[in-house]
Amino acid sequence: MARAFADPPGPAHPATIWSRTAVARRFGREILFLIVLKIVLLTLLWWVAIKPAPRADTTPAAVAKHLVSQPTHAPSRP
Amino acid sequence: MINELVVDLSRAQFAATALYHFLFVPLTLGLVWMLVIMETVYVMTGREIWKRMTQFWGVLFGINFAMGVATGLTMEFQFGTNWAYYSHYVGDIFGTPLAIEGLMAFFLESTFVGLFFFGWDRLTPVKHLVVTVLVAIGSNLSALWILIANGWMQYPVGSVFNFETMRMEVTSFTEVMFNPVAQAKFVHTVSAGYVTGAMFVMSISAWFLLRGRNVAFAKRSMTVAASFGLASALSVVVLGDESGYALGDNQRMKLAAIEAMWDTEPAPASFTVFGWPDVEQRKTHFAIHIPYVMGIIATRTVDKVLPGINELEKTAEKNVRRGLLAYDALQKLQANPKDAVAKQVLDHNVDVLGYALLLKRWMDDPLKATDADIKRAATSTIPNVPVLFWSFRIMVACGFYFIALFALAFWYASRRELERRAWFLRLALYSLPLPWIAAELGWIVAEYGRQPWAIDGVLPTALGVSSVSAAQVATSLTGFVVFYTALLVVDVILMRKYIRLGPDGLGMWRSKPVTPLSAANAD
Repeated sequence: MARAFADPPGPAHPATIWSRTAVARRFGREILFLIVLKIVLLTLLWWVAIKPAPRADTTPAAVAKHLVSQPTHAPSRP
Repeated sequence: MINELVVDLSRAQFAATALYHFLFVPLTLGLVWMLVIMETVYVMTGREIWKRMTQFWGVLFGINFAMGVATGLTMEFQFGTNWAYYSHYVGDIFGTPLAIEGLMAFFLESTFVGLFFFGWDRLTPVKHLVVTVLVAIGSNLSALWILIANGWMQYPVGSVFNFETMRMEVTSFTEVMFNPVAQAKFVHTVSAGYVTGAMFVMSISAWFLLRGRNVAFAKRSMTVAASFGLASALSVVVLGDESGYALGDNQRMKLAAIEAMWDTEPAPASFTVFGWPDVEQRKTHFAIHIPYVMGIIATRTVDKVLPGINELEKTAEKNVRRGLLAYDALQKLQANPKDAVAKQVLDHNVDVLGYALLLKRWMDDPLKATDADIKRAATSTIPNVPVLFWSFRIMVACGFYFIALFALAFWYASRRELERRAWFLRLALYSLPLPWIAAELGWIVAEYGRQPWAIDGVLPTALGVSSVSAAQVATSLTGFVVFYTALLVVDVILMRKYIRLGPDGLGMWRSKPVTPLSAANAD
């Protein structure tokens, strides 16, 4: 049963611009709500779980201490 | 000493957020070019159906974009919160492409994505098409800059270690930008995204055809997806081969682990199609080889030897010993920055300083390392062989399956037989998750295979972690997992809702009622 590769009957309301229809407006509202909700929840997560943690000291001196031990002896390995 | 639990939790947190974020990225990368193709046809022909196709797939693109946006941002924050020492050590180089990505590519994409949705009745068709093209360019440029940063982690070029500031600094931004590993990763990753976009359109179109809804709409969509998907699937395989071209020792280790190639083979090395890697015995049981293939892919020659894991482990041991000379010199320079002899020793061995830092995982002072410690550090440079071996093979199998599927779709579309092949439409529908599985496995091969390094040969992952407690990381990790799981559920619900509505349900088009193919076939 082959179907022809023809155009469908046409737009439901040819004069209507889709982005101004009720369904498009509802879609826009849903997406906007989700983006705002997401930003709010991420901010909340930041305030509750991340911000209270102390900041790591990343001055060159602190990094040197973190990566390189203080010299206790001066042997060079082969 | 390093707190291994904090390292593991920090890695798990980054992996969880990255894997989640990467569910959205490939679809954005691919679907946006499909929109460009459909809208171009609309502009060229003026036929309304192509505009409606762009709008419908644009709705699904919008959901994906809205759900995915800002989920990558949390990874950038983690560089500061969980990976502060990493950020200090390599921020001078790593931060630049990330900043460019945010300022240039992401703003370009985000600005024009608004115009894409709200500009249909405000812009001329040609201007709107330009907007769609700019969204596509923006999203792909985002990927480029992220992968330049990531490519530098895999193959650090254009930089030098400064003992005074205790960090890596840029010497040539051009080298960082045109890093061959980054370029290979970029083309491979975006091609994988194009496959994902094409599969998404093809699978959903197949669903419409099976149900006899929006038939003309779905057939056209499927034809575009088949053509675009076939070209992309071929590109993924060809450009993935470029990623296999090993440039550095650490990448050779990753490659050897992917191949479970324990011993060095005579050139050119064979490719292991199947086998069972045994880490304890360092053997691959039941191995089936294709001669020459791996050697040619990895060295681009037939006479260069590709080292096996055991040989690379010995090289790593030598590097650890030489790295200790650099470490010792660095200590002396910390005490006396004007020590010319120490400076000379550091300069001579700085390329392997990172290998000595591997020892910090087990001891505070690497200079007290015994031979056994050095051997343990060298062994730690071997990534998890079975995970890489299987991830890679499943990814490659998916890649070849995509070529076959899109080729078949292209054949049926060319002969206008799509609707008559219900079995094929079902196959296309059920193949929907595969590009995501392949993409996530590819990410695992690239990033898990980089371990134990954050920056290959330069900075061990364990040393990049912030001085935070395990409880703090566990709390934020739990928060991210709960939040991202909820987002994923919402995303699936939304996608399902708008797909089921279809262009007809959304009032974009009046569907011509036809007998559902599934029902027709059942007769």
